[in-house]
Amino acid sequence: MTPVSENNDDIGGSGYSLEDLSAYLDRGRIPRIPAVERNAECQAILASMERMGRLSREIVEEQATEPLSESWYDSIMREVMREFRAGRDIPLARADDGTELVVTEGALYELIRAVGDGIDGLLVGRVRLDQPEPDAPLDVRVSVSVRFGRAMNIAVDEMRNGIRAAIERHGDLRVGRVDVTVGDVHLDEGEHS
Amino acid sequence: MTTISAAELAPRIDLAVTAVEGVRECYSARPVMARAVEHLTDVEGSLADVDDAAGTRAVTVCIGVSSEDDAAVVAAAVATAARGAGEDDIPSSVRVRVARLIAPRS
Repeated sequence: MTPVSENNDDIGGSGYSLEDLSAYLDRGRIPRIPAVERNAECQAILASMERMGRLSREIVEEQATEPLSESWYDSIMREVMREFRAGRDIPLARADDGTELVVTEGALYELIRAVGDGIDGLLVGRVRLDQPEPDAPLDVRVSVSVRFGRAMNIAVDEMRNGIRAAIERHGDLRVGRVDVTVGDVHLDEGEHS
Repeated sequence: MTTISAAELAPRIDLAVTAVEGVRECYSARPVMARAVEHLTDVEGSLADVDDAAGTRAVTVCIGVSSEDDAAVVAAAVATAARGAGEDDIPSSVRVRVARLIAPRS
């Protein structure tokens, strides 16, 4: 694998692109690439790819349907990559003695996506985090797709409550608004409306 | 007062941080340029970033924590471990960056 040089596809300053990471994962992460294995953003992207792969396999196994479409997979992975480029650090807890404890915005995006992955019949599309002022609660906006036949209000409530609980477990982090929008309905047959 | 150089301290911090309960992964906290040089020269340097300037020392470490643990508690323990890794009296600031909240495998 030849690392990309200066281009916009570079992930976390690693020198590798999304396509490079996909090929690396397909090869079983052998031979080991330290620049990827020691890079938080690359690790998060690889974890997302693994989750998406598992999700696709589960859908095929449980419902005997087509795997998730490649274009849908690509669009989600591009979205995940964009989220991890949002490099703002958010204070986790107050500390004296010159200690700063922070969490990256990217870590919170990953956390929110993981909440969605755990909810039956729900696929996470776009995630947005907003903190109007420093120390203000975090506002979250998420667009999701709900499987046809699944009660939307229940899925949305699970997502909303799950996001709040998952974020507020960590230090001083507090959540303000959580807006969950159902932007799509997907069918059992693996087709996306 | 015994002084220890930044280059000597960084690997000690790496070891100390890795041993902290709740730390799932450790990542490079070094600036992008430093990482690029490591990449080009095929050298694996330390993960912790230790910067000495004007008689003070700034330490940055970057970690991944399980999403089920309180990241603030783990990060505070990491900061304590990072401070304990040095054996000198150079005043230092410590920054712990939680770069991933890792979901347990289902």
